[in-house]
Amino acid sequence: MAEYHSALYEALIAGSYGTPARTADRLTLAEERLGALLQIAGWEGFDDKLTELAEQLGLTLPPDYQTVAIAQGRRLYRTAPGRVLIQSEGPLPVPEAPDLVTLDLSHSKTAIVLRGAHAADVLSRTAPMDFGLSQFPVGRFAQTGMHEVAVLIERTARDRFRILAPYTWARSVWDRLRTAAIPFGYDIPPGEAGAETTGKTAL
Amino acid sequence: MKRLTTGGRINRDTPVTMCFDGRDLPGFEGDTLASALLAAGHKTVGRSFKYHRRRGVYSAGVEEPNAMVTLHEGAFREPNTRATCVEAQDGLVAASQNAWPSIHLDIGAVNNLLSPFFSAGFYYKTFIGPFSGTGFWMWCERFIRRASGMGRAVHLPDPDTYEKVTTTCDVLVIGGGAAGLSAALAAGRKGARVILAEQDTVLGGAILSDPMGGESDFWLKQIELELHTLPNIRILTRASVFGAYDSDTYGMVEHLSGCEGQPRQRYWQIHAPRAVMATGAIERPMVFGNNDLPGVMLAGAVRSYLNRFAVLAGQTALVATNNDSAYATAIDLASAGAGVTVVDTRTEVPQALREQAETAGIRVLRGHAVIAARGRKCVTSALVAPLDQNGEPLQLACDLIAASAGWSPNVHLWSQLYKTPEYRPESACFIPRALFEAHLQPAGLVTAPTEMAQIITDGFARGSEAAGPDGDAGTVPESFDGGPLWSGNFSPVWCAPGVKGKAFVDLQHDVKLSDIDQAHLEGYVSVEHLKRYTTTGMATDQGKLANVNALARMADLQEREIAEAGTTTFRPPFTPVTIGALVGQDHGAHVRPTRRTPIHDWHVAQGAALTEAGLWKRAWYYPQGDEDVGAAYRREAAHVRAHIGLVDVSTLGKIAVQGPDAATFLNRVYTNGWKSLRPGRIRYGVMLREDGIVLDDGATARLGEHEYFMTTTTANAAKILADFERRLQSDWRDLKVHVTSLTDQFAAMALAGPKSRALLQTLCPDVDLSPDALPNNSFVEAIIAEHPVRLHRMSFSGELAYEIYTPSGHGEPVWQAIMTAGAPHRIIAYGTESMGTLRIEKGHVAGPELDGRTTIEDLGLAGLASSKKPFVGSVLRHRPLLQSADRAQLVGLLVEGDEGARGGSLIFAKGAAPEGHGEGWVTSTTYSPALGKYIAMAFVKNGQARLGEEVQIVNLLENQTSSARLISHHFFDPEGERQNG
Repeated sequence: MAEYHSALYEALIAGSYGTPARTADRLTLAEERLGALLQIAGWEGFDDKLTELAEQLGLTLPPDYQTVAIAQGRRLYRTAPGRVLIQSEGPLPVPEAPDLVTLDLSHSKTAIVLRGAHAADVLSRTAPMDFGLSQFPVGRFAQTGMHEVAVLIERTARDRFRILAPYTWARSVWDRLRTAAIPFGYDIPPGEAGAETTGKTAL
Repeated sequence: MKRLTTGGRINRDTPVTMCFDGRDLPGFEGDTLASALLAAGHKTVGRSFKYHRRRGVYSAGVEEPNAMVTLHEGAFREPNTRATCVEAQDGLVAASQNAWPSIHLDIGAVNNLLSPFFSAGFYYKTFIGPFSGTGFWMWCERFIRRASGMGRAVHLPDPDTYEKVTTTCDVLVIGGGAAGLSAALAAGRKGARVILAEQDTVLGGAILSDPMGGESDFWLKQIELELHTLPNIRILTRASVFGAYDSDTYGMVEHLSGCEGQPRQRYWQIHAPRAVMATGAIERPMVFGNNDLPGVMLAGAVRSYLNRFAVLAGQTALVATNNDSAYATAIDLASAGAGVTVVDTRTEVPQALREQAETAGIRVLRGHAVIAARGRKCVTSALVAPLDQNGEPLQLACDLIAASAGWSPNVHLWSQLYKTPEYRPESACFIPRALFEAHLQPAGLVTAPTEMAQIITDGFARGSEAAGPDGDAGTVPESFDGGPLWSGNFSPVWCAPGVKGKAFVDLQHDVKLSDIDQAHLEGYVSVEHLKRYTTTGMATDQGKLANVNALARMADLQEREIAEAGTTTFRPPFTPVTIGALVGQDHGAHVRPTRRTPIHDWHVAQGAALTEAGLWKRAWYYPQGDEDVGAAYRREAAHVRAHIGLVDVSTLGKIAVQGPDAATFLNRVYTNGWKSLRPGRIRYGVMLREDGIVLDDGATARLGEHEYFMTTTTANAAKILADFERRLQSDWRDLKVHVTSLTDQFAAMALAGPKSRALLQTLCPDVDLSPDALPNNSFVEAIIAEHPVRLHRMSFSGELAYEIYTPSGHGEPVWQAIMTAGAPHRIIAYGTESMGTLRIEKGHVAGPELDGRTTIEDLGLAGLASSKKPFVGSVLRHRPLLQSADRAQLVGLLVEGDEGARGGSLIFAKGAAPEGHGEGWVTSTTYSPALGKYIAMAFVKNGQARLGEEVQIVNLLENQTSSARLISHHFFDPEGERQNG
């Protein structure tokens, strides 16, 4: 098994941080292993071809560029006209279809997880968007800027967000999130993505 | 002045002790610093800006021009804070400012005697003629700045923390008074997401100045109760909306000082498609002689201190007014036991009001005005004269003059969006124009209504409209007796004829009535010019108190109406904003994002010195012992030539070019041809801009039939990708091509040196790396320590070299594996400095040569420009200017001496006078360990024809000159035997 060196290797030190007196509603910051991330792109008739392809993967092509399609441990994001990203916790077969091109981007993103009652408050301190539940419900994603870095933010649960940050910017985004989380108090847990598992783990 | 034993909205169960000018200052929770100062009998709390005159608390809000104090100590020190806006907190340390040695004995007060010399236009008039010139002005400036001004800023880093927050709502309600509360209620009932922003510590606005326990209190409690039950309403107090901007964006600062674990201030950027501006009005001062003496206050402020803070500002009060609103102050003062005289400029006062006053034992002098305040340290009497000048002035003993010359609606935010407000003569004030399509609608006092019911109804209607057609706003809350307002019965007299003494229009900037008069006499007509000439309205209060009176005076002098004179431009911020709040968290390490390569952690662990390349952090060199960069790069470069070295080049731009038209695409963006490139091969290419200038260069590998892997320079990666996207989405929509950045997907490292093949072969025993199997400019897939890699045989150093690409998460393990396996070959890691040395020795162009001015011919790369196909820049590169024979061409410099040449130095012919721009310039420079000499790359006019010529290198910045010989820029191994071996 090849080792994976996280972009957050030196930053993921398990512990409690921020406002020490705050015991309730603390936040959790962690890294989540992304697994496989594949870009599929095409041209004319892309939606039809992709609909067929998505069905083979158990997914439904979302109608817009802000809804995540989720099924069987896979997620599909329409990122631009003629482009989608498919992320899979497990291996993802590279589909072969005429007039489509695929690109492995599994190492290009680092997935940062932010969860807790104040997760949306922290995000509103780092990205110029409305993260209210009514405007940004569960299953919604957005491609926006965070600390001047292009990121993809997904609301995976009421109080849980996943931020896909470019690998080489991930540490900077992580540090900025930590600063924003200080007033709320936050924990970096061991196990999920903490010090024990984030160094050089099997991929 | 005294604190009453009962009443007020202060919490007497929670006393606090503050410190003012080194002495204890008692107060209560709910006080402001200003109310505590008044309660403790501090009549003088500061000195004025220019004349250092005694000044006392003048207002009770953000418009305060006098009570400017410095808060806190050391690095936390904050000058120029309005005491009227500072919450009383235990342990708060405050000090007066702009006085020495103290506010009670201030040497600077001599300026008051010299005031005839400091009139309007002082600087313009003084620093002309024989005294003109920057040097003299700068010499004087030091003394002027010390003598005038306000508090002193601290030069230590700010230890406080700040936050920036972005939020969105359906309706933003600005102001938590009766109108704002009504608006928020209506919008909230309809289900809109509402933010209610109030700059005070509690909701209520002007209601807080009413006596406790009245109808208004009951109304306020009822509305607050309902608002708190609505989950869609977010109430923010201590939150000042300071700016209204395009795209329905508002800037707001929330003050959080004292909240544990919270930042000092929070800057909100609010996106609200609809907003209600219920910002109220600010009382306008009366202008009379010595109207700045401590003891002269705004009438509304006196009432606020009395009813909200239980502070009686004077025992013998004179209330000077031209409208009804001040009668509420007079009556409340009388109820509190003060002796009160009302001096009303009007001859007719509503009968009910007059009767109320008489019942309260108040003497009313109609048709009179105050022409001067008297007193040395504070007000002791007032000179009152009949306005018809039919009678002698009266001197009335008093210790308080509460003045009201009407009110000025706070139109600032509206005006920031929609420009000039309109003048309403019957209320003598500017109000927002009726713009039904405006997203920011005014409500309440800001529209100069005549009764409280109108304020509530108006606010409720604006809130309901802002929330949209859906939902039910319910019924309008019942009104209450809000007392007399100014706009119902108003006399536009704010300055009596025959004022005596210095009569101030702008208290904060010490601008007198006579200054306005002087500006008029000197021909200033425009209100904007008047403002700048006299500096009225240019202090930190932005003329909240001064502007309308200054305009009125100017209009009088010009015999025009105020509406004709116009008003100045309102600009953000409404109240001063701390720079720290705007910066938020984006300072220090967060001032900009930082980009780290996948191998960054290894570099740091090995003690590499890092350098910044754009936003990247790169390993600059790896010092051994106490090596400096100069020693390190020479050692590293020499070692690579002799043995082997590994450098992190992950910062290279990497772009996937995919699609059936990928080769056509490359043919268009590169100058050379790409259709013949076979899979498995790599080709160097140059790109031009449309204008024929070189844009970038790099190598591209053909991975498959329709797939290419392009590299760009580090600096241009983002620009190139954006340019490609633009072309594919607009110019070249006929091409089936997708481009995607792979810079984050792959780590990259270059293994260079004569032992590099041998080392790689030990790591990849199953791959044939022989020159025949893997010649220069070709690649092969391989595995290193279980990690997938792609080995590009290509060289930037001139050595036998390989670029190794691997997915980012494998970057550090692959690097580590190579370093471990390379130990027997004496491998070292080398940094960007020695990488630069190696590439200069080889004569490769890089950023300094691709500086946006050079052509492909200048670089000696004309052979790469195909004549068989069009490409970007292929037409305009033939412009005569770019084909001129005397253009500067790339050459090498063999520099004499042991100093080398500085980049940017100019090149002159030997013996020529070093004047003008010379015949060329140095681009890249280094000491060459391989040649044992200093070398450089340079552009020199007609340089290729002048090889062998001696030239001068002139560094005008450091006044250094050296000699050099022009040679080929391929300094080392020009035949390429080492890299091709």
